[in-house]
Amino acid sequence: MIKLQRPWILGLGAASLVALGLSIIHLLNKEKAGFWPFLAILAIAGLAGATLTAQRAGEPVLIVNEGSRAHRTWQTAGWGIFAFFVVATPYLLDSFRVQQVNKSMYFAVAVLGVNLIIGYSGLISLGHGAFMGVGAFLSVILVEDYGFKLWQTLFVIIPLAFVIGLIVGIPALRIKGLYLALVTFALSYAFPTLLKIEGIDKRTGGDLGRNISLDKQVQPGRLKGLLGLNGLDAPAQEQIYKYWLMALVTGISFLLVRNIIKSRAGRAVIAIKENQIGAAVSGVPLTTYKVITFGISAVFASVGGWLYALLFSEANPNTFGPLLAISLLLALVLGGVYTLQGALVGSLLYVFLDDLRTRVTLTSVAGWRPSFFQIAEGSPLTQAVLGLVLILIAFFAPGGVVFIARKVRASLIRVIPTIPTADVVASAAVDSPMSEPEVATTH
Amino acid sequence: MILAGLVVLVVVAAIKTFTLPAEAGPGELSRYTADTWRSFIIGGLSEGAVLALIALGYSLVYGILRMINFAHGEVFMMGAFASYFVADRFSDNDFLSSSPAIAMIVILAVAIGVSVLVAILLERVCYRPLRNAPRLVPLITAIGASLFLQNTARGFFGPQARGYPQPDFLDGSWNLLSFDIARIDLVMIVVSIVLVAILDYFVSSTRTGRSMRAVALDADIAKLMGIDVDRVIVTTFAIGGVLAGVAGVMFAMRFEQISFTTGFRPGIAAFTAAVLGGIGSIRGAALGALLVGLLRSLGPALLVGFNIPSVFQLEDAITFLVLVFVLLYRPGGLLGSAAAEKL
Repeated sequence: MIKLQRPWILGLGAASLVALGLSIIHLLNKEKAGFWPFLAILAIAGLAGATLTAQRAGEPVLIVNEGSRAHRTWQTAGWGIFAFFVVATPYLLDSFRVQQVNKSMYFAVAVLGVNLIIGYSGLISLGHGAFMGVGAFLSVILVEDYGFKLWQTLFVIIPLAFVIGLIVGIPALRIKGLYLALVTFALSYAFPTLLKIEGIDKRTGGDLGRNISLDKQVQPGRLKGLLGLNGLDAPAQEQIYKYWLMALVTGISFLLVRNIIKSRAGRAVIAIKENQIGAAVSGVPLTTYKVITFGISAVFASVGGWLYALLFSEANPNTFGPLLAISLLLALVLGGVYTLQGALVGSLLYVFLDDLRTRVTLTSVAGWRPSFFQIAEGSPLTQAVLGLVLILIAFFAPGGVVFIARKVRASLIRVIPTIPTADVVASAAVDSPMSEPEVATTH
Repeated sequence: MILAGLVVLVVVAAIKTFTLPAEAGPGELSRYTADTWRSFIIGGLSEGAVLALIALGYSLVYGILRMINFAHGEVFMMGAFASYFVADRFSDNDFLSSSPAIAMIVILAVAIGVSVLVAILLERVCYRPLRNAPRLVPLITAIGASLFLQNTARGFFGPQARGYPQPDFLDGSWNLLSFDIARIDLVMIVVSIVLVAILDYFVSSTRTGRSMRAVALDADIAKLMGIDVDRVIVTTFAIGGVLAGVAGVMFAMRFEQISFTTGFRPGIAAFTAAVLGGIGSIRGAALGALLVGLLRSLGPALLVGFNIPSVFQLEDAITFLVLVFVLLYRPGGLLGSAAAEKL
């Protein structure tokens, strides 16, 4: 069944989305804003208008059955647009912007790990900046001192980060809630100092950090022709090549996290978050699951750190301090806690917001600079803006951007789920190796 | 067990203080003389005194709202920074040395006033609307407020550290029981003890204090008993602000400088202290702050003999390690109730 009422609302929504995308790309590429900010505002207003109209009508504009032909067509179109953006992004933007997209990808992988802990298992951790540091420093040190290739370091980083995550996770069994937030924050606070200790600083480079030497850095390799890099200038080649490497890792991480939380173990972890006693009574071993979740999320954070080393070819102790832990949380909250896409969207938003912050000056926002203000005339806005953004999200969009997007989508489109027939359920219960009825029926 | 370990630590330091000769002979195992140990202890005590005042702010708020006021370090910094401008002016026109008593009162009043204002605004704007939200949400606004305040201070007061004037009467040292103790250290310790004692009396014996405890136990029942919960919470934040203001002035005068990051390190150390002692308990916060202060000054010094490279960079690591172990064995902190871990 497909029902399309007042198609102009859907048209308005789609047009607004396209306009929003275009104006964002232009805002990123051009130093002068021109009329694009107004188009962006207009597009957001259009989306809001479409949503409100549909909500007033009380019925979504488009209603389709799940799995119906129309539904599959719409889905394919959606994925097609997404794929187009994934492929086209590095070629549409200049190399500096591509680097920022890359930045948001290493962030996203780490935020996926943070989401596993904060979003899905409900343990509040502010220590994942340190795990990122472990990944970044191990890769730099192994490449520089032990002659590893960068991709080979992953085989050391992943098991080691898992073990470190387990060790940090063990206190998490006894230390609950906000106490855990403090202890893990202490970890990210102490981490840079620990790296600068005499003796260790021979490996980590102390205050200056370490670089991967030029001949060992990742260079566009054999796939150059395939990726259409020939004929581009060197920085663009490098960034686009890294874009594809990082997109690959990010994509794999995303799928892994998605499968983890949909697995039996993932559901058990969510059950612990929802009701610890209930989960324990239902036979979920709390200890094992909590510690292992911590280990896994540390692995994702360290892979984020590895991507950092891949992108910037350096690691500095001061990068992996408490501010990084806070920005990971900020990205997660921006995108949406307890949502899968939140990590990706939030990281992208965070990186571009932070960039916007450094390009905008107080004078250009307010039109004047208070005379008692100590910041120089043309200097960028401080991180106070990020603090303000955090507060505003907590008040107006506690579910993050993904939550808003879902709300908009729900008011425009409704997909009627197909009800599984009786024999499908029965065969699933029999086929399942773990033939416990509650597993088969609840999901 | 941990407590015993800490007692051992302090005792070892004390023994070293009294048994070591005033000047280390050749081939001496320890590099430090009795005087150095003494100054470590006094330094630890005075740091603990400031930390206690900040820690109480965390502890009171946590006891009542079950949330970390992450921005409390910034409350401390804002008060101190505001008083800097007054103190600087007083020091320029010699008012600070000609009539120190009045000058100090004005400086303290400004610091306390600004700290209280910031604390109340925080509660009103960032925390009150979110009182029933999941506990991650107020943590997020608190972190946001901390970033905001810290960088606003940077905007208003500039990124550089400023020299904070120390009044003449606090310069130099007093001789106390054959010890030479820096005046500012002694003043800090005494002021802190007095304030903690007043607060302890206030919370245990006055009407407002009783309603604070009632709200901490169960805000809903307290409301039914006719307690104005909002007012109690604002009072709690204001008390935290007063203590932070006093602590800010003392801290700035002790180290004779202030910058927009001043609130960060003491804030974290004080929060550690509050958790170590048992968050929600006044005596716990004071005890925790004392221990953290001593640990930070004595801990590295005691490790000097063990061939560990650059121990003096490890003060934070040592403190946090002790904190983790205390929380593992006593999740409620040293003096905290077991109920404190139920969040």
